[in-house]
Amino acid sequence: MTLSFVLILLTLTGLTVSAVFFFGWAARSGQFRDLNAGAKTVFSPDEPEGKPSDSFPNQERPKL
Amino acid sequence: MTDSAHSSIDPVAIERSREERIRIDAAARGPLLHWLASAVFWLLLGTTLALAASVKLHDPEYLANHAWLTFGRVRPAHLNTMVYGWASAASVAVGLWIMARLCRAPLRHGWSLHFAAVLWNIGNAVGTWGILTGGSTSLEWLEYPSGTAPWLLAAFAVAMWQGVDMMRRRPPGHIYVSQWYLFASLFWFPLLYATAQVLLIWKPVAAPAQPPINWWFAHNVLGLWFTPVGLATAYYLIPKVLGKPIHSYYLSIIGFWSLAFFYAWNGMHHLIGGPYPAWLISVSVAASVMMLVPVLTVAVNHHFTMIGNFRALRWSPTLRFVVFAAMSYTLVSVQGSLTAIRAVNRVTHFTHYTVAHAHLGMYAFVTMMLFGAIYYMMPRLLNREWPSAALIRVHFWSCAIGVLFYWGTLSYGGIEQGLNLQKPDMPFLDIVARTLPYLRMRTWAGVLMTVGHLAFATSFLLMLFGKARATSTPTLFANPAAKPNPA
Repeated sequence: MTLSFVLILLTLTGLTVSAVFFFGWAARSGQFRDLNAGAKTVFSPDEPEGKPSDSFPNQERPKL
Repeated sequence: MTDSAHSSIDPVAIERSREERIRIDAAARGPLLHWLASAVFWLLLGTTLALAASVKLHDPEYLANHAWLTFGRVRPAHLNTMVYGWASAASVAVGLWIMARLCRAPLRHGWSLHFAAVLWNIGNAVGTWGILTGGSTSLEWLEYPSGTAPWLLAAFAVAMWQGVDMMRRRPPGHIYVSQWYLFASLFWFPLLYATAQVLLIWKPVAAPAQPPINWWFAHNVLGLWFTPVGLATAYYLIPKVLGKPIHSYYLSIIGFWSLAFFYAWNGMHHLIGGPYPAWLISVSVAASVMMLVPVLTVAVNHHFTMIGNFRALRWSPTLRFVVFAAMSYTLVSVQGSLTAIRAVNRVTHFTHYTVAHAHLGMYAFVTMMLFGAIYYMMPRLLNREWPSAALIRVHFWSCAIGVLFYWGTLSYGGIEQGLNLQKPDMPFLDIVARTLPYLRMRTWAGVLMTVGHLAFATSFLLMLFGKARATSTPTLFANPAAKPNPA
């Protein structure tokens, strides 16, 4: 029983402590600084913003 | 000037980034297809078990002559093959692919993921066999018998290590919200699963302490494993398909961190009315209502990004599934927060309403999101075109209508059942009999979803075995303007 309680406590505190740690790291390392640019990291020169992808096979896509 | 605007006039950068993307997809091809193909196998098996379980509820004699096909075994076998065999395996594949794309890091040591897929399949086979032969642990969401967990944990450790390896190799700079979700969930799932296994199966705690741990696990596996993967997928694919960033990136970051800080408190609302200290349950009720914060951030983002772009649903198969899933996420989460309120729970607890709610989460949200992601991934991994638009449409419509019908009828039937259960003068068997029409409708909804799965599996196999049209630039991929007009 004691072991179980220790494990539960470790898991719960571990979850919270690691979340706090990573949040602190993110804040310190400037992850929250330029979020507008961050939002565009999904795009690349090859698959740029403004260029839709994906369509049904063999079907022309209307221009947006 | 944005990066993309700048690079669109720089052919060298475009070429370099194209080569990088091709390298990433080529490295992911073998191992992730192994995981996806395994997932599709378990999806079909889980579907078969689901139909059998559903029919048995209104027709108890159906397949009742063999012990291993009785309801008490078929139903948990369905749940576990779907949760671990299908949804988790597909989540690993989709999650690692998005991770590789966003970290701009090709998977290394692909053999380790092949090996892990074998372990994962052995674990699921051992577990399913165990349940069907009567070895279920009878702990909900953890029915696989004790020999299963080491296989699953060993396999997942490889996936986790792969995720960490890619994060370490990412270029310096911003970590996109999908990367946060995926990275965190790769740790959350094994933590939850291992803790639950130790406390409930390897060294079981005293019986009264088991349900809280059981529900802490079962609820968090949805919230801290499937939800992050599903949201990461939506946050990656919606901008990719539309070619425009999400509506409010700020909100998405708030959403991630509020989930990370507060989600773990939720599970105890499953024990409302149970013999537990009131404070324990009240904390969970409060946390469940608090979940409206991350949910609304996601809802605002996904839906506002879509506004003005709904026409895109007509041409993008991926977007159809992903937007359907994102809407279901909003719906299931708001429903969940309301259901956690004691006054509501008093009626809905222990009724079919809960079953409907679970399917809205695991199916309409998680499974549909994974389908959408697979439609986007496969052509890129294989450089092939999906064989048939018709099959995709059949898949989408039968699954979408099927799950909404399922949810609608069972929710209504469940509320009626719950209200009847509050009437002390109504005989219990009458209440049971009154649920029968809803259970029959549920089976028909299940048939519809099965049709969808068969269409999906057909498409998938045709893709996998090269029966689909190969092109160096599949149309799903290509700049539509450059696409040849089909005959």
